[in-house]
Amino acid sequence: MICAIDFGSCWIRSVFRNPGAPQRLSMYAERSEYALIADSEPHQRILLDQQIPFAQCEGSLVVVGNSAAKAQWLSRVPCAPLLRDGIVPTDDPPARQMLSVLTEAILPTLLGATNLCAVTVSGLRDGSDQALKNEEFLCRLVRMRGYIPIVVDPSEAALLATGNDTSFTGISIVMGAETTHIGVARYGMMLTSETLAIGSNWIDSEVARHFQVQKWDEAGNTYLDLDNIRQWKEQTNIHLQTALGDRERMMSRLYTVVLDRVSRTVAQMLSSAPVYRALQRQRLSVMLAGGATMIDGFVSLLTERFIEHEIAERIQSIRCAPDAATAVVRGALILGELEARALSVEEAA
Amino acid sequence: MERLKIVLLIATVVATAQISTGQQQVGEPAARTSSSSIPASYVVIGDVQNCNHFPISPEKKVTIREAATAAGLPDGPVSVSVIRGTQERALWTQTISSTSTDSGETVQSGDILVVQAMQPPASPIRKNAVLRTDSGIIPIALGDDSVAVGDVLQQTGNLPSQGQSVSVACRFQGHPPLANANLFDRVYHGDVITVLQNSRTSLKGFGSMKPAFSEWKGDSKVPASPAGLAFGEPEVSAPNPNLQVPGSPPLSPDFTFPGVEPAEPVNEVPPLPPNVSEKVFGIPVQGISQAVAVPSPIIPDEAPAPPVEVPILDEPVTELAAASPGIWNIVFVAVLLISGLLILAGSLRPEHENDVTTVEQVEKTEPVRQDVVHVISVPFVPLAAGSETMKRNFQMKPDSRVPPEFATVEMRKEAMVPKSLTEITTQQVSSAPAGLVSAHEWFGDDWRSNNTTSARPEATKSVNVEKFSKSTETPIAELPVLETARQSMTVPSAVTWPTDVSPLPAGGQGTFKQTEVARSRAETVHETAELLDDSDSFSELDDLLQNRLPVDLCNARLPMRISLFGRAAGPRRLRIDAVHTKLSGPHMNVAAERKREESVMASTTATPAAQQSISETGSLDRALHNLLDRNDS
Repeated sequence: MICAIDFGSCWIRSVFRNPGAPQRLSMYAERSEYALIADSEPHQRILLDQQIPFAQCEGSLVVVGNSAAKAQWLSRVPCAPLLRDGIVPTDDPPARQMLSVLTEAILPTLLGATNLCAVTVSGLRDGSDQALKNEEFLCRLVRMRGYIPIVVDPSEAALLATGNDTSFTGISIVMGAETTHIGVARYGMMLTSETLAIGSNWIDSEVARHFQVQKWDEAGNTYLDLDNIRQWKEQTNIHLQTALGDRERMMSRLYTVVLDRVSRTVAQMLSSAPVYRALQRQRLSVMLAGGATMIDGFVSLLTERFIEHEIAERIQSIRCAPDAATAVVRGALILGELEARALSVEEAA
Repeated sequence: MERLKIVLLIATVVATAQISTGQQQVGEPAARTSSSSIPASYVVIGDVQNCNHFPISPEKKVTIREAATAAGLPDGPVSVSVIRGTQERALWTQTISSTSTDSGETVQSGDILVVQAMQPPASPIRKNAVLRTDSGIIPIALGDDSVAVGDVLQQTGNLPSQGQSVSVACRFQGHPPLANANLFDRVYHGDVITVLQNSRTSLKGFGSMKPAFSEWKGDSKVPASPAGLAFGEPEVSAPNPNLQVPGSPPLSPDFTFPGVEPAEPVNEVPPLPPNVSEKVFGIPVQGISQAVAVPSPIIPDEAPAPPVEVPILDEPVTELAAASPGIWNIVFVAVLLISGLLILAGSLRPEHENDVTTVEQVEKTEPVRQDVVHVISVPFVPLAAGSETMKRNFQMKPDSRVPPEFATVEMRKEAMVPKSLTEITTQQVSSAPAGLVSAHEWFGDDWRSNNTTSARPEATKSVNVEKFSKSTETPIAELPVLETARQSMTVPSAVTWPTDVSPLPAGGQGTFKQTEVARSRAETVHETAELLDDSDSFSELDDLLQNRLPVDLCNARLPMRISLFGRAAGPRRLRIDAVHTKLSGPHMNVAAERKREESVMASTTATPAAQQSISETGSLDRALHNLLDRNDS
């Protein structure tokens, strides 16, 4: 069985071929958050009555995954992320255990001799101890399920998923909730990659902080209401180029800040030695993936930033993946199948 | 055949050089226009149905998408490059498809939109290009594939004078732009030919810099016309009396087209005032071919002409060349001849010197392994990504003779065999995925050879090894032993290939195109077949690459009730307010029949000073209540 799992800061997705029908893909998508509910008998009874899976920890009940939204009304505390800042939290033992539960639930059962799982890890991959521990923890979860984990860079996975018609040559940008991954590849070979610790959550947090979109619990604790911002984005169909109102204009400005940083990084990557040696002055296509790229006007804004940084002449086109949210996990599955094939060839040789 | 082509090429170059020599002697271009009031327009060329000028309405702005769509886009996504002003490169490129949203970028006057389809267009599109001069932008329809830059310039009357440079600023992908184009350079579909004043030669440092125009010298300001549409500069384009219609009134500067919808081709515009050259408004698109020399580009006032075709001259202009046979012309022709001879001499070398395959025959003196060498040409495009095992197998060959995108995979089956067997190691079998190599690129004889199995266009020659091994059931030992590497790269004609050869997947990546097995035992055949048994799954992988597989979204089944250790941290708190540890005491109402709203003072701190202030506040409240009660009574 070959599968792929994407540990994202907002969603955890897994995808694999349906064993009964290989021409179909099966996908699990669970929100990587949990709802914190006070541990009381009525709450437990309500959760049991509504068939909502929950866990009991010290002093509270937690509901993880997609069910968290169903049980959110029982608490005044907003949902907490399983991966805080894209990193497995060290001070939240229930969150680590819930990650294990979720991983076990969304990975398929083992089948056949070769069981590979391509894993994309959120957060920075800068070689620091924290990044290594984070990666090792998530890989261990996959390994506990019986799979051999293969860590894949999200930008590489997105390139495999979207770069078929560009001969897998170009720039891949994956803008997620907490991080933005950028990679430059030539014929599928990654020449260089970079990860920025900034994503759509930072934008939502700044908007919520500026306009004081907050929630209070019973004890007077204040939390940013990011769900409110997300729902507002979905309902109002914001266009970054034609922003109306203060909130939309601020959203557009924040996206500009992020894309400015992305463009600066792309300019540095294009002028780096490995990229210049391999691609010279070749014009490249830009493939966009990630949930944050689905907002209207994103491509135009990125084009403006490229012009601003004088790299527009190096860009042939900017295209957004049709399945921007799931392109990374699909690309990881592609790489997993390629890896399985390579392993079989190596074993036969 | 190739040598004959080279000879013909040299002859063509020499003939074209003579033409260009003569073309430079052509007098004043007849097609120069004189009107200084030009309506704002833009030009759309490339893979569009209607390559022409399009007016821009001052009332409504036209976006790039609307402009390209108005010109008739082919099916499928297209890439639109915007060349603005005097810039020699595309300002940006925008991808437009049926599902893409309009970015809102507007077209400006003088813009050139070069549309390139990302997929081969279904309907035939007439090849076109555009000529950008100081006097304007002229869309051109190419009559055939052999139109040269000189043909375009001559037949549009824009031969470069001294101090002007010719360049092909923007081209379709795959054709490198030409900074200094020669007159015999070929014009491709979608080219943007630029003839502009060469300012580099006239500049002599900052001391020689001059303003573009002086306000105090002239009585009237010269309006800053958009780049590329500056028709009114008298130094560059003097009014040509041949283009003026006698007795016609001058065109007013604020002339607008009545009832013209924006982004509508000028072909549908009502007849213009007769003094306005059609060329100024871009009504005709000139066509270029190599058939007839157009004496004068004056276009009648009737219906807008189709793209003007510039024919290529059947008879080179030899009279003018003979009239002024400069020494440099002779030198130029002589250099061309010498270079042609050198090329011809180079092509006469033996074929094996050009062969990219090397053969190493090593006589072994000790028991060696019988190597079954599978030379598998694999486009490593998706395979190489992230796979450490594949990265070990794939090795980039930085050989100057071989494009770097080709890789060689060598897999060896180990089996002990008697001595004196020859180990054949074949290297450098090239193959490229589809679309990476255009037709005009040159990769040597082996690439062009029809019986080369590695060439992607020869899809019928590509052999599905698995089917071959299973269907023919022919021991590999019966295959002709390939003695030389060159033979190993070609399909033996004696072998009858199965007819049910499956075509390669559309993506072209990750498909074993050719496998040659030499000196193998029968059991090795089965191992090889098993090894390559995954070839069928490549089609499935291609579906995955193309995102054609339907996705079933499943619901995860989590355990209903579990116990976790530890205390959940919960979401990040933005601010922690002080707990209201102590409240002030209740205020007793003296008048029982009256109910008042009493304020409750909350304390955020528990300091003694705060407590004191609270007690004072409570005393004041009581005093006020007493006063109120007294007044009431």
